[in-house]
Amino acid sequence: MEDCEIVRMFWNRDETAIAYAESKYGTKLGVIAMRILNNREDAAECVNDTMLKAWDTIPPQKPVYLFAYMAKICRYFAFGILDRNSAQKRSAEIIELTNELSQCIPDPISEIECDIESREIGHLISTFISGLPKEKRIIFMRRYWYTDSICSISERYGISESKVKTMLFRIRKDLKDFLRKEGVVL
Amino acid sequence: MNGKDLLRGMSFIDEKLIAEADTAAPIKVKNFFLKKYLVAAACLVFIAAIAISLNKFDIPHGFQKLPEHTYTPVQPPYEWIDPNNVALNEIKEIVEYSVYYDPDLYDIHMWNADDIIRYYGKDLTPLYIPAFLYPSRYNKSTKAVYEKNGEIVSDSVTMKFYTGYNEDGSPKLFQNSSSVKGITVQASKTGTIASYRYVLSMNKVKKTDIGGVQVLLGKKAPSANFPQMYTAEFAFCGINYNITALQMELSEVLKTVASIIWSDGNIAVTE
Repeated sequence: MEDCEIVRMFWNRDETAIAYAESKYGTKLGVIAMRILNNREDAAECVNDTMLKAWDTIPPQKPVYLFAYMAKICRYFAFGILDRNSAQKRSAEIIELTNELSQCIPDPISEIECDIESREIGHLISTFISGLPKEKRIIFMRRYWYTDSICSISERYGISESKVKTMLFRIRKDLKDFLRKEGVVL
Repeated sequence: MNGKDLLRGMSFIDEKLIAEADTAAPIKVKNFFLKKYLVAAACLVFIAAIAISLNKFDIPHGFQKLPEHTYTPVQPPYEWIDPNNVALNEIKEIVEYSVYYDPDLYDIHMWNADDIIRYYGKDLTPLYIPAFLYPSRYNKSTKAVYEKNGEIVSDSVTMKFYTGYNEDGSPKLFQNSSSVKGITVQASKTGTIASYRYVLSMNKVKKTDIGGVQVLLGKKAPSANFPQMYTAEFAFCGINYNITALQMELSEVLKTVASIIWSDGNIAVTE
């Protein structure tokens, strides 16, 4: 079933929309949640919450990209559950990603409350990524949004792991400069 | 602010960017030969366009049509295989092999075409498929088996290319023969591929080098109850492949294998 048809069912308050959405995207959302949470039960909870949130927000929302819309919700919930869990439960991949992105912070003073809300950071990063060449943009998104491993990205796009690492290193450096120019101050 | 804040902030990224990264086709690495072949590629497209316009290929009703370039006459071929360097191993015995996954211990999820591409990083369909073979409508999905902790234990993808199919999706017998004709391609990262094991003559197992990849080729001579069969097993880019061809020419099997390794559908076997 096409996305627009599922969205139309949401708008008509047809509850089968949830079943269709789960059938079409449940597995993909589960993978995203699983990579962040490293726990099958938590990931399943996350997907369920995503479906309910979609039901609550469509309407008034009318997403053009239904999967992206639901994946955003799912990822957001996953980080919420991650906060709830102890640090020990975090997957090695998330710890690694966190460390990598720490390099993008202009003044890395830890444990200081940040003035910038996550939403604003998201907008800033969107602006930054939109200005990247397509190849870099996709690789950055696969790594830091979909939490793909370096190896997975390398295989997916047929480029060496070292090239992926180099590319990500340069993007992080550019992102750091960008955030500094945008006045991200701690 | 720390790295986790940035990672969390990524959750609010523009949906268009998320969708783009979800659906983006594998990026072709620019290479030295690109320009060299550009003109030749344009010619092939032109030939393909003419072939399509003439409705040259008769596709049976109800079957999915392959991309036209797979049927394009190869003039000139880009990649060559020397048959003198091909080593065939005799298949002594075929042993059926299957694994049962207890639903109490494992979860089974249906993967669609997008899931398969996402997992394997590419479309697994060989770029060369022999003429007059058609893909099964089930090629674009597979059942993946997960452990309860989310780890994938079986990721096997099976793609069938045969001369025709029955209502239930099984390949049809070929013309007046008592067997089907076509190729089955199986792929897996975890290695749990085979539904059959081919017992080769162990003393003299030889592998064939195709594009730097060691390919184990097997052959079973036709008998009263079984058609001629070729098999090919190899690992490439972390993916294990197992190809079974029934009633097919060896050259067609080699071209199919080489098209996976070279990522090129224009393959020729030298005379």
